[in-house]
Amino acid sequence: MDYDLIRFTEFESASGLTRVEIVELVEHGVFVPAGKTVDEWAFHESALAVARVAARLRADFDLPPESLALLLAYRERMLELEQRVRELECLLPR
Amino acid sequence: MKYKDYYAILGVAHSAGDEEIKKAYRRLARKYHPDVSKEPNAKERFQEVAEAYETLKDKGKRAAYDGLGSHRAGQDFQPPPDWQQRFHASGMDDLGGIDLSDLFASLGARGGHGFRGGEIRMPGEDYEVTVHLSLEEAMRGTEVALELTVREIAKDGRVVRAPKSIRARIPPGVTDGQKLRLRGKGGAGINGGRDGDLYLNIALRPHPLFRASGHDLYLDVPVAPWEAALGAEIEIPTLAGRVALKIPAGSKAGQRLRLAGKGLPNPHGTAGNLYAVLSVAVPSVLTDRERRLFEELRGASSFNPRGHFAQ
Repeated sequence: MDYDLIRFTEFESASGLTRVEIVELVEHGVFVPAGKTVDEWAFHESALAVARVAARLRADFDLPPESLALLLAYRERMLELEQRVRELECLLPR
Repeated sequence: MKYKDYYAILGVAHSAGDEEIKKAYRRLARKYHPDVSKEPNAKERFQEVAEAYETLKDKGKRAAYDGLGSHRAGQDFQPPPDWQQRFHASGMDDLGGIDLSDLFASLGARGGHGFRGGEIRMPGEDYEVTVHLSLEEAMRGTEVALELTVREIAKDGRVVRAPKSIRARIPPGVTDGQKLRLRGKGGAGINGGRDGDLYLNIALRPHPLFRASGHDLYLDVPVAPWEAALGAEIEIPTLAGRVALKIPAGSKAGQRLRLAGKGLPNPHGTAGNLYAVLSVAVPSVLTDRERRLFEELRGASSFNPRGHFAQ
């Protein structure tokens, strides 16, 4: 992704999450928007990929925001560990 | 139209109740959901499972599905003569080439929101496509031609599949697993709704020499024992041509030598690094003179690579 900021309304429509769900996920620390008030919020475009995963998981498993936040935190840790494994694999000779 | 056995896909009997169907869906969704599953065919399996659940969880759609009768999975079939009247699918005269999932999506669209009426604004569908690139293409950037099949709502309210050709610019420096968003390149919006987006999942093909991790590249560089011991200046390949690499005296196997900025470009205008991972290669067949010189070295050297075992 490039590193543009996207406005709340576009983030909402592109992610598939509702405004209320996004606010709750921000409260849970899943997203860290720029801007002081909700109306001024803008999101890193890289957060959109996470938001779309959140929307799919919420819809497909019928998850409440607190479970979703926990699941996304574990997913983030898993992705970091996978990245670390990839780096270590790169050090192994073929 | 090809028959799909939604009950078999969910692994439940035709008599299964709503709760049993929901449990079966949840069990399979947990196993195959593409955001959490590592199963090789997770995406396709999840699509099947979601499609089956989407139909069987809805009383009206399930009745319409059951009304199609039982057939073998994959078998060509026609709905019974009165089926379209019974389930309000009138106007859908030619069902020959239609996919079963589109048929039930159409029923949902007509029964639920009435696309025909034209008053509800709906965004177009988003699509995700995996684009396979070589490391060279990732480094330079490239343009790819994509042929998609998108679902659209026809004027008569039917869900139809339409081909869509898109040329997409891939900027230099994309990395494996990165997602690129092409705004408005997905399915067409309905009744003035915004067009959907197209997401490109970047997958880098394995390279015969380089391994990529993010914007960094790794290259195995075998050196001779005397190059490792004495140091050397050698030439190695990079994605942008050959460069000189100084091997420091006393280098070890597994050591990483960093060539700053010789990896993939990144969006900040700089580039990742290229790491040369050293291995010490030994000739598998020695000439008589090489053998004598190694034997002489063995006699003359006090070096003990396993000295730390004794401590």
